[in-house]
This record gives sequence, structure tokens and C-alpha cells, in this order.
Amino acid sequence: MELQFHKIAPNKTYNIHVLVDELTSSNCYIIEKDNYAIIIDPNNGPKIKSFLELKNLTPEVILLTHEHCDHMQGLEYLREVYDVKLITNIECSYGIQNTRQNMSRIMETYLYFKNKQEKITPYKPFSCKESDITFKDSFDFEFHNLSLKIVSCPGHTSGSECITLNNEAFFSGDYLIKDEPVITRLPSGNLNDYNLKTKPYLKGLPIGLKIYPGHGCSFIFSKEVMEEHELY
Amino acid sequence: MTNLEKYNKAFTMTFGKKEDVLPTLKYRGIPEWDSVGHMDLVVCFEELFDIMLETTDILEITSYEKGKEILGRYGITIS
Repeated sequence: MELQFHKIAPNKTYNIHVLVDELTSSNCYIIEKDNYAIIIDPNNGPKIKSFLELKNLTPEVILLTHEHCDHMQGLEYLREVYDVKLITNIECSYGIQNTRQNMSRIMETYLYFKNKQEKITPYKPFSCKESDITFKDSFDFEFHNLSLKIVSCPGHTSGSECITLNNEAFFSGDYLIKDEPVITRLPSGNLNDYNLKTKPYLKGLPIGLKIYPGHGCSFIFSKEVMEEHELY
Repeated sequence: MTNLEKYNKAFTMTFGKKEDVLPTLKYRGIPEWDSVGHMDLVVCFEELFDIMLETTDILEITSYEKGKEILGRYGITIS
């Protein structure tokens, strides 16, 4: 099996690797610290497992940027293989258990449109078990001397969240995607929530922060990015 | 609520249009009925009528009127 993980953030104390899922183009990020790992948005269980074995990493925590299936289609596979804790907000925990809210019910249609209407790609609806640890607005924790903060950011979905690592890296999920406006019309999406809660939070991000979006390449948060996403 | 009322509700909720213009609606005929709007509409149908549509049928819902025909395949008469 050809692994498609790339080391995109070499650092003295941790590494960040990304796996792009071919089918849905979603990004999975693995934060490597010593011989332990945090998995953000597990998009492909077997490939993630192969990578962890190759690097001799023990995963301890899984985080989701939101409940959509393309960001967690490898979740249950990894929970069966590893003793990992899933930490999400309450809404995300609810959403992953529901085939309509997690979009897997309608994923064939989504992929049909995404593939420029050429063919129907089979995609079986699925649901996941509830999260192991849940929170309402925000959750802070330490992971082998790394500092992580998860903040609920509703709008794209009610369970959307953004994750900050050491005040250096920001995992934005389906927000801040280059050339893509925020979609708030899918199940549990809400434009008012985005404008009232999430947009102000994104506006407050420091210039220079490294952004790791749910789709596409990482980039530096800048005034140009703020303008593109109307964060003024 | 009758099936017609449920059917119209799906369109008014999804696209924010008044009932009198619903018969004129077509896929990509208004900005709101794009691919994202289409998925939202289908989710709305499935919740209101408690059905699960096949993807091939979902893709055939190209207008307000055509949608009635497609839902008829699932035993839902809209008149």
C-alpha cells in the first residue's frame, strides 16, 4: 500500500503529518509527539493504521473538526483497533450517530456533484458511537507537554469545532478553506450561528498562525486570508 | 398535514420561497437550488416523509413537478 502521508510541520518537539483521502479530498492530520499521536479527522482507518505502525506511534486521542462523514469515515475502524479516546463537543457527538447529520446518507449525491456529474460512486451510510468525552463550548487539555484547545464553532454544522495546538497551529475543518465560501446550508448548518459565534472567533486569530484546513493545503493566516473570508 | 403540504414545506424551508412560485422551480433555476440546496432538499424530503431515496432517484428530481413523480415511486401521492 502506498502511503500518502506527508510531514508538513517538522518541529523540535512535534510533527504534523497529513493524509489526503482520494475519494473525498478531506485531510486527516496526525500530531506526532515522542511515540504518541493525536489523530484529527480520521478519514481512512487502514491507511492511518499503516502509518502509525510504520512510525511506531501509539494513538491516544482522536479529535474531529465536525461530524461530516468525510472527516471521520475511519473513526470506528480505529476505535476497534486502538484504545483511543474521542473528544468532541456534545453536538458533534450527536451528529456522528446520525446518518443524515453526518451526511453519509447523501454522500453518493455529494460525490456525484463533486465528480462533475460523471458517475455515481457507491458510499454506504454509517453511524458512529458517541464520543468518549464531550464538552459544550471549549475544552483544554495537555498531551505529552503539548497544549491543545478545542473551541465549538457552529455554523457549517452544529458540531463544528476548531483546534489550536500550542498557539502555533490551527485546525480549521471546513472553515478557512481556500477559494471556498463557508457552507451553512447542509443539515444542522446555521448562518446566524456562523455570523454570531464563529466568525468573531476567526476574526480574533493572530496573524501568522499556521492554518491546517479540512481540505486543501496549509497556509499562514494573514490579512489577505481575512479579506478572502470576509473576516473584518 | 397532507402530503402536498409536507412537499411544499420541504421547498419553502429549503429555498425560502413562497408557495405560489413553487411550481416554477427547477434545479439550477434559482441560486438557492444548487448542488448544496439539492442535498438539503432531499434530506428534508426524507425527514418529512420518513423515506430513504435511492441516489439515482435523487438525481432525477430536477424540478418541483418531477419531484412529485419521484416520490410517487415510494408510495407517496402528492396531489
